[in-house]
Amino acid sequence: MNLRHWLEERRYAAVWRDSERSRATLLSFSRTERDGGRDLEAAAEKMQDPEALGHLIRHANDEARHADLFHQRWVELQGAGLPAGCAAPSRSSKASNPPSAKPGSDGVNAHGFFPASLFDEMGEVGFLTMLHVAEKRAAHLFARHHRAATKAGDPQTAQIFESILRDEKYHVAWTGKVLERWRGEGRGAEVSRGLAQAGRGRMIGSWRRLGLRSAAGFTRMLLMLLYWTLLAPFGWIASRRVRPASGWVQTQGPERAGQY
Amino acid sequence: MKILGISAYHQDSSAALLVDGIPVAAVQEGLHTKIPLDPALPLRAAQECLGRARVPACDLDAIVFYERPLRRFERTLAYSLRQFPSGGRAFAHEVSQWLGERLWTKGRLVDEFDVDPGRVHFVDHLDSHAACAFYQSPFEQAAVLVVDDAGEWATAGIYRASGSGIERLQELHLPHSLGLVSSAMTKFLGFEPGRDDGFLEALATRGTPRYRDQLMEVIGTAADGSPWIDPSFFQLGTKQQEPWKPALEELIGPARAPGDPLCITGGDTRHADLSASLQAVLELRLSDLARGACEAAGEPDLCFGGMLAGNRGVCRALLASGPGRLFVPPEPGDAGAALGAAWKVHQRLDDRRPPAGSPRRFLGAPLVPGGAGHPPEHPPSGLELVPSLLEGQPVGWARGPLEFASTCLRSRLALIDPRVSDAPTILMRALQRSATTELCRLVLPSESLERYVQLPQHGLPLARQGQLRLQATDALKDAHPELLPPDGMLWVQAVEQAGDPALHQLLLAVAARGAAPSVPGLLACDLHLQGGVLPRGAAENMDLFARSGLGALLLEDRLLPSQGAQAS
Repeated sequence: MNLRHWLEERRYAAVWRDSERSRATLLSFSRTERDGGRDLEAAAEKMQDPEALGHLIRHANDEARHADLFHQRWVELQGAGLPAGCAAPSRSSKASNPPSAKPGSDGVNAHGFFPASLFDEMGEVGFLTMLHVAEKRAAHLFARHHRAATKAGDPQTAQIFESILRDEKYHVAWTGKVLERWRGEGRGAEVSRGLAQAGRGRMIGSWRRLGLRSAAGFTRMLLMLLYWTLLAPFGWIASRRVRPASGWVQTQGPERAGQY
Repeated sequence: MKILGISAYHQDSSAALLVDGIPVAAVQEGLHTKIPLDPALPLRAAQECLGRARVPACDLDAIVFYERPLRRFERTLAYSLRQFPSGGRAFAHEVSQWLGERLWTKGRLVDEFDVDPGRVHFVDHLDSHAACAFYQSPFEQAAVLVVDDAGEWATAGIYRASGSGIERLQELHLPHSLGLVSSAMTKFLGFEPGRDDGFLEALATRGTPRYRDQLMEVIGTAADGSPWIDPSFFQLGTKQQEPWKPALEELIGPARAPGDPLCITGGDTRHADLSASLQAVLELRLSDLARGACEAAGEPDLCFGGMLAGNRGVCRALLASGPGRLFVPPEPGDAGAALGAAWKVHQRLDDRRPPAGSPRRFLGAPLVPGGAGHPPEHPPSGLELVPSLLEGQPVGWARGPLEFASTCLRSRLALIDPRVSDAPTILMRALQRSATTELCRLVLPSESLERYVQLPQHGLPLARQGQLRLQATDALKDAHPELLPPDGMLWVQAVEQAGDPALHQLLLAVAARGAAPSVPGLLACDLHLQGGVLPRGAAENMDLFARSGLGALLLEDRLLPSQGAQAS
């Protein structure tokens, strides 16, 4: 086992030991799979290759089912911490994440037109190479999570990963088979270029995610520092001010349209 | 004039589209993301509204956000500083969220919808709630009372509303917020504010208000009669891990951590008693507020909006103590505020009251494409469910477009015959939900309502909207004693023959055909699985049915039997 795998094992084991993190992970997987399914449905509408079309439709159904499986397990774990007679708590309202999919991933877009899908942006070969690389990565990821969930003593979640893993292997196989056929049909250069681009895209994506996480951590640290240094005198004065006024306040001024 | 209202970043974000003052579509974002009370910017919901009405974003006259972000940010900063030195973590957490997204709301809306920045408007948070309450009411003029957790600075407001507009008369500022105290107490009892508020209200029916005096001390009144929250007990205004102070635990005992045993039966009913005490204090304080609002506005009729308008016990108390009629919008919370914000700007731009009418409920996605925007008008066909109900099975009822409301009255219901032993538990288990009697409501025909519950004067319109918890009469106590909580208060929904002939006919048919005598009613709850959201289209309804333990599902004009029934 190399260092990267060792670090991943530790990271995923920590996820399934922490109930809150495991719930968040399941919900995140559910949303990713659902969004992926929508992209695949949109691609299936435009795919010209009959063999790839059949696989895409089945693949889209798989993704929707995976989303349901993850969501269902999330629901079960949400309710597990409460005694009988209690409703399960919702996702914390403090989180205000934007939707993971781009607007327009279903229905018409803000301009009243059907949105351009990933398929339109990347083309037939670009889309399938991206899908192949993404599915390989997903199979690797779910295998690690399967092992971690098993070790953490959560057989139900492990079973879900196991069933999804079987599908992921099929997804890798069909995309690889179609790409190989296209190579044989004289589109080898296009396929190689697509695979290289997809690989680069994933690396850039990982780098960006790392950057975003680090930036969020740094921002909070800086804000804490700001609170304890520059804002401290104002805070000291504000905390010693007399209690805020109580009672009704007459409203003042004309109505405004702005943000303040 | 086409106006899109948006509410986001708090709870249950939503989008609503007005065309010439008439709502044509309104959708919660959570119905798309499948996250209950999703607070994300409702881009998917907005796209659905525009798509269903076939209005391109470039044709919109205005996009309205339901609060003023900069004023709210100012309040966040001020309260973080006031809580120095303990407010450091809350400051870092909240300000980083603001810097990440909320502060740039206007730019985000301009980018996403590709509209001129001049078309993006902002409305005071409480004004959005007030407009939502008044413009759906049947009143020509009325007093409006909004009691929310917190808007920009205001937590409650009193308005005078008429055809010429809605005039704000008085407002109450943080930290004196009945809504925030209610949320803090929900958290104190180990539940999730927002999602579990209804559960806390239901829990109150099992307890006695023995902590009422202590809570009256904490939730007092100022010299002018307005609510006053003692700052020695609460730390309100920022998102603290624990919004209460140690003094509260000294006064009423320790807080309950999520997952700890809930003390509601046997010798220890502390948690039910705390809920009952909070409910009693809220009813008292809000009744005072409502009377004050009617006096200040000089109007006998009252529209009630904001977070606490969803409390059915409070609505009954207001109706009983008020001088005139009461109106509560179908969706009084933040989701409904998107509609209110759009109405407020319609009035601002058009200078006329939007067309009056009954509350608009059916603004959600149609069950089958092409049926958007209209209440179900299919011929009655619900009688096919009678055999399943008489066999003691819970059944599903999915008809017409989704309602834009906090409670589904006609479009997505799960039903069971109340004569079945342990009916509420069976109904809840069929939907994979934990069983509690109080989370179900009794659906009764309008004409039988007064025989089985004590209906206050002017109470029928609210009972039709499922917005009241009422005292059972002896007739109901004799027929179904097991359904009633210790205090005899029951959540009811009245069904009129003219309003929903199919459901009305079903209620009578089940009662007439059963072996044991019964009230002509069914137990009902909203049709969704635990942790899930209401199903929108036919596919989502069938998916829910396949996963549930329901015996049958009426899907528009088709009857789907369970797999077991199909096999037999």
